[in-house]
Amino acid sequence: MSPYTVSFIVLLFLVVLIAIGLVRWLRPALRALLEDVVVLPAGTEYYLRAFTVVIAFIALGAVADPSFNFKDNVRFMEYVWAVAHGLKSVFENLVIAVFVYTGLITILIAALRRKQ
Amino acid sequence: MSNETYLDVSYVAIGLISLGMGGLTYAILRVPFGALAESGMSRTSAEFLKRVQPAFFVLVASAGFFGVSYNYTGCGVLAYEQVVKDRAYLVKTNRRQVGSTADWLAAGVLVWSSVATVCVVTARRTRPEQT
Repeated sequence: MSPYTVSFIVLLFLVVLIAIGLVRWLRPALRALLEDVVVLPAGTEYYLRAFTVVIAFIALGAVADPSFNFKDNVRFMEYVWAVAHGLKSVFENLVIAVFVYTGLITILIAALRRKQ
Repeated sequence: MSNETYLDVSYVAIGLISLGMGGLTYAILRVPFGALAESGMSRTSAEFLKRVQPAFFVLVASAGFFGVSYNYTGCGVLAYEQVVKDRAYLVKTNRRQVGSTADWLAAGVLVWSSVATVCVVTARRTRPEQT
Protein backbone atom coordinates (compact mmCIF):
# COMPACT_ATOMS: atom_id res chain seq x y z
CA MET A 1 0.00 0.00 0.00
CA SER A 2 1.18 3.52 -0.74
CA PRO A 3 1.93 5.93 2.11
CA TYR A 4 -1.08 7.95 1.04
CA THR A 5 -3.44 4.96 1.37
CA VAL A 6 -2.06 3.95 4.77
CA SER A 7 -2.39 7.45 6.15
CA PHE A 8 -5.83 7.89 4.63
CA ILE A 9 -7.13 4.65 6.20
CA VAL A 10 -5.70 5.54 9.61
CA LEU A 11 -7.13 9.07 9.40
CA LEU A 12 -10.52 7.76 8.26
CA PHE A 13 -10.61 5.29 11.16
CA LEU A 14 -9.67 7.93 13.73
CA VAL A 15 -12.07 10.54 12.36
CA VAL A 16 -15.00 8.10 12.34
CA LEU A 17 -14.07 7.01 15.87
CA ILE A 18 -13.93 10.63 17.07
CA ALA A 19 -17.20 11.58 15.38
CA ILE A 20 -19.12 8.55 16.67
CA GLY A 21 -17.59 8.95 20.13
CA LEU A 22 -18.54 12.63 20.33
CA VAL A 23 -22.10 12.02 19.15
CA ARG A 24 -22.59 9.05 21.52
CA TRP A 25 -21.10 11.01 24.41
CA LEU A 26 -23.24 14.14 23.97
CA ARG A 27 -26.46 12.88 22.41
CA PRO A 28 -28.19 11.37 25.52
CA ALA A 29 -27.59 14.48 27.63
CA LEU A 30 -28.57 16.72 24.72
CA ARG A 31 -31.80 14.76 24.19
CA ALA A 32 -32.68 14.98 27.90
CA LEU A 33 -31.96 18.72 27.93
CA LEU A 34 -33.98 19.39 24.79
CA GLU A 35 -36.93 17.30 25.96
CA ASP A 36 -36.90 19.23 29.20
CA VAL A 37 -36.53 22.70 27.71
CA VAL A 38 -38.00 22.63 24.21
CA VAL A 39 -40.94 20.31 25.04
CA LEU A 40 -41.89 20.11 21.34
CA PRO A 41 -40.90 16.63 20.02
CA ALA A 42 -40.22 18.07 16.55
CA GLY A 43 -37.81 20.59 18.07
CA THR A 44 -35.91 17.90 19.96
CA GLU A 45 -35.72 15.76 16.83
CA TYR A 46 -34.56 18.68 14.69
CA TYR A 47 -31.71 19.70 17.00
CA LEU A 48 -30.53 16.10 17.48
CA ARG A 49 -30.49 15.49 13.73
CA ALA A 50 -28.80 18.82 13.07
CA PHE A 51 -26.08 17.97 15.59
CA THR A 52 -25.42 14.57 14.02
CA VAL A 53 -25.40 16.02 10.48
CA VAL A 54 -22.94 18.76 11.44
CA ILE A 55 -20.52 16.31 13.07
CA ALA A 56 -20.83 13.93 10.09
CA PHE A 57 -20.09 16.67 7.54
CA ILE A 58 -17.12 17.95 9.50
CA ALA A 59 -15.71 14.42 9.57
CA LEU A 60 -16.37 14.02 5.84
CA GLY A 61 -14.78 17.38 5.07
CA ALA A 62 -11.61 16.43 6.91
CA VAL A 63 -11.32 13.00 5.31
CA ALA A 64 -12.12 14.21 1.79
CA ASP A 65 -9.31 16.73 1.74
CA PRO A 66 -6.45 15.39 3.89
CA SER A 67 -3.66 17.22 1.96
CA PHE A 68 -0.97 14.55 2.41
CA ASN A 69 2.32 15.36 0.72
CA PHE A 70 4.69 12.36 0.81
CA LYS A 71 8.08 11.99 -0.80
CA ASP A 72 10.16 8.82 -1.24
CA ASN A 73 11.36 6.69 1.71
CA VAL A 74 8.65 7.68 4.12
CA ARG A 75 9.58 7.20 7.80
CA PHE A 76 7.13 6.23 10.53
CA MET A 77 6.95 9.69 12.04
CA GLU A 78 6.00 11.14 8.65
CA TYR A 79 2.87 9.00 8.72
CA VAL A 80 2.16 10.27 12.21
CA TRP A 81 2.65 13.89 11.11
CA ALA A 82 0.39 13.42 8.12
CA VAL A 83 -2.41 11.92 10.23
CA ALA A 84 -1.89 14.57 12.90
CA HIS A 85 -2.21 17.28 10.26
CA GLY A 86 -5.52 15.76 9.15
CA LEU A 87 -6.73 15.49 12.73
CA LYS A 88 -5.84 19.13 13.34
CA SER A 89 -8.49 20.35 10.91
CA VAL A 90 -11.03 17.88 12.35
CA PHE A 91 -10.51 19.12 15.89
CA GLU A 92 -10.48 22.78 14.86
CA ASN A 93 -13.76 22.43 12.98
CA LEU A 94 -15.32 20.30 15.74
CA VAL A 95 -14.41 22.91 18.35
CA ILE A 96 -16.03 25.66 16.28
CA ALA A 97 -19.13 23.55 15.52
CA VAL A 98 -19.66 22.42 19.13
CA PHE A 99 -19.10 25.98 20.34
CA VAL A 100 -21.62 27.46 17.88
CA TYR A 101 -24.12 24.66 18.58
CA THR A 102 -23.78 25.08 22.34
CA GLY A 103 -24.20 28.82 21.93
CA LEU A 104 -27.36 28.26 19.95
CA ILE A 105 -28.78 25.88 22.56
CA THR A 106 -27.82 28.31 25.33
CA ILE A 107 -29.66 31.13 23.57
CA LEU A 108 -32.66 28.82 23.16
CA ILE A 109 -32.63 27.87 26.84
CA ALA A 110 -32.20 31.50 27.89
CA ALA A 111 -35.11 32.63 25.72
CA LEU A 112 -37.43 29.89 26.96
CA ARG A 113 -36.43 30.05 30.63
CA ARG A 114 -36.81 33.84 30.61
CA LYS A 115 -40.35 33.37 29.39
CA GLN A 116 -41.08 30.95 32.23
CA MET B 1 -9.40 7.40 -19.60
CA SER B 2 -7.58 10.56 -20.66
CA ASN B 3 -7.13 13.40 -18.23
CA GLU B 4 -9.49 15.63 -20.23
CA THR B 5 -12.23 13.02 -20.12
CA TYR B 6 -11.58 12.47 -16.42
CA LEU B 7 -11.85 16.23 -15.83
CA ASP B 8 -15.20 16.45 -17.66
CA VAL B 9 -16.71 13.37 -16.04
CA SER B 10 -15.43 14.06 -12.53
CA TYR B 11 -16.58 17.70 -12.63
CA VAL B 12 -20.14 16.69 -13.44
CA ALA B 13 -20.06 13.73 -11.04
CA ILE B 14 -18.72 15.72 -8.10
CA GLY B 15 -21.19 18.51 -8.87
CA LEU B 16 -24.04 16.01 -8.70
CA ILE B 17 -22.61 14.46 -5.53
CA SER B 18 -22.44 17.93 -3.95
CA LEU B 19 -26.05 18.62 -4.89
CA GLY B 20 -26.93 15.18 -3.52
CA MET B 21 -25.26 16.05 -0.23
CA GLY B 22 -27.38 19.20 -0.06
CA GLY B 23 -30.49 17.18 -0.89
CA LEU B 24 -29.62 14.57 1.73
CA THR B 25 -29.21 17.26 4.37
CA TYR B 26 -32.60 18.69 3.43
CA ALA B 27 -34.17 15.22 3.53
CA ILE B 28 -32.79 14.52 7.01
CA LEU B 29 -34.03 17.82 8.47
CA ARG B 30 -37.21 18.32 6.40
CA VAL B 31 -39.77 16.53 8.60
CA PRO B 32 -38.80 17.87 12.05
CA PHE B 33 -38.25 21.39 10.69
CA GLY B 34 -41.59 21.31 8.86
CA ALA B 35 -43.36 20.31 12.07
CA LEU B 36 -41.50 23.01 13.99
CA ALA B 37 -42.36 25.69 11.45
CA GLU B 38 -46.03 24.70 11.45
CA SER B 39 -46.25 24.75 15.22
CA GLY B 40 -44.37 28.01 15.64
CA MET B 41 -45.36 30.18 12.70
CA SER B 42 -48.41 31.30 10.84
CA ARG B 43 -49.47 29.17 7.88
CA THR B 44 -47.94 31.52 5.30
CA SER B 45 -44.69 31.87 7.23
CA ALA B 46 -44.40 28.10 7.69
CA GLU B 47 -45.05 27.58 3.99
CA PHE B 48 -42.40 30.14 3.10
CA LEU B 49 -39.79 28.61 5.43
CA LYS B 50 -40.49 25.11 4.15
CA ARG B 51 -39.86 26.37 0.61
CA VAL B 52 -36.74 28.27 1.55
CA GLN B 53 -35.19 25.24 3.28
CA PRO B 54 -34.44 23.12 0.16
CA ALA B 55 -33.26 26.18 -1.77
CA PHE B 56 -30.98 27.13 1.11
CA PHE B 57 -29.26 23.74 1.30
CA VAL B 58 -28.90 23.50 -2.48
CA LEU B 59 -27.34 26.97 -2.53
CA VAL B 60 -25.01 26.09 0.34
CA ALA B 61 -23.90 22.88 -1.39
CA SER B 62 -23.39 24.78 -4.66
CA ALA B 63 -21.34 27.45 -2.89
CA GLY B 64 -19.11 24.73 -1.45
CA PHE B 65 -18.66 23.01 -4.81
CA PHE B 66 -18.10 26.11 -6.92
CA GLY B 67 -15.89 27.64 -4.24
CA VAL B 68 -13.04 25.34 -5.26
CA SER B 69 -11.31 26.41 -8.45
CA TYR B 70 -9.13 24.34 -10.75
CA ASN B 71 -7.17 27.23 -12.21
CA TYR B 72 -7.21 29.98 -9.57
CA THR B 73 -4.64 28.98 -6.97
CA GLY B 74 -2.81 30.88 -4.26
CA CYS B 75 0.18 31.12 -6.60
CA GLY B 76 -1.68 32.64 -9.56
CA VAL B 77 -3.81 31.42 -12.43
CA LEU B 78 -3.05 28.07 -14.09
CA ALA B 79 -3.62 27.56 -17.81
CA TYR B 80 -5.98 24.82 -18.96
CA GLU B 81 -3.05 22.73 -20.22
CA GLN B 82 -1.31 22.92 -16.84
CA VAL B 83 -4.47 21.80 -15.06
CA VAL B 84 -5.16 18.90 -17.40
CA LYS B 85 -1.66 17.42 -17.54
CA ASP B 86 -1.61 16.44 -13.84
CA ARG B 87 -4.10 13.69 -12.91
CA ALA B 88 -3.12 13.84 -9.24
CA TYR B 89 -4.01 17.53 -9.16
CA LEU B 90 -7.41 16.78 -10.71
CA VAL B 91 -8.14 14.09 -8.10
CA LYS B 92 -6.98 16.38 -5.31
CA THR B 93 -9.26 19.15 -6.57
CA ASN B 94 -12.19 16.72 -6.63
CA ARG B 95 -11.51 15.80 -3.01
CA ARG B 96 -11.28 19.47 -2.10
CA GLN B 97 -14.66 20.07 -3.75
CA VAL B 98 -16.28 17.33 -1.64
CA GLY B 99 -14.55 18.61 1.49
CA SER B 100 -15.58 22.18 0.79
CA THR B 101 -19.19 21.13 0.22
CA ALA B 102 -19.19 19.20 3.51
CA ASP B 103 -17.75 22.17 5.41
CA TRP B 104 -20.26 24.57 3.87
CA LEU B 105 -23.15 22.24 4.68
CA ALA B 106 -22.01 21.85 8.29
CA ALA B 107 -21.98 25.64 8.61
CA GLY B 108 -25.30 25.86 6.76
CA VAL B 109 -27.00 23.46 9.19
CA LEU B 110 -25.80 25.56 12.12
CA VAL B 111 -27.08 28.74 10.47
CA TRP B 112 -30.40 27.12 9.63
CA SER B 113 -30.70 25.97 13.25
CA SER B 114 -30.97 29.63 14.25
CA VAL B 115 -34.16 29.78 12.16
CA ALA B 116 -35.35 26.65 13.97
CA THR B 117 -34.58 28.35 17.28
CA VAL B 118 -36.84 31.26 16.35
CA CYS B 119 -39.56 28.74 15.45
CA VAL B 120 -39.23 26.96 18.82
CA VAL B 121 -39.34 30.20 20.81
CA THR B 122 -42.37 31.40 18.83
CA ALA B 123 -44.11 28.05 19.27
CA ARG B 124 -43.55 28.08 23.01
CA ARG B 125 -44.86 31.65 23.23
CA THR B 126 -48.06 30.67 21.51
CA ARG B 127 -48.44 27.57 23.71
CA PRO B 128 -47.45 28.71 27.21
CA GLU B 129 -49.50 26.01 28.93
CA GLN B 130 -46.87 23.41 27.98
CA THR B 131 -44.08 24.98 30.06
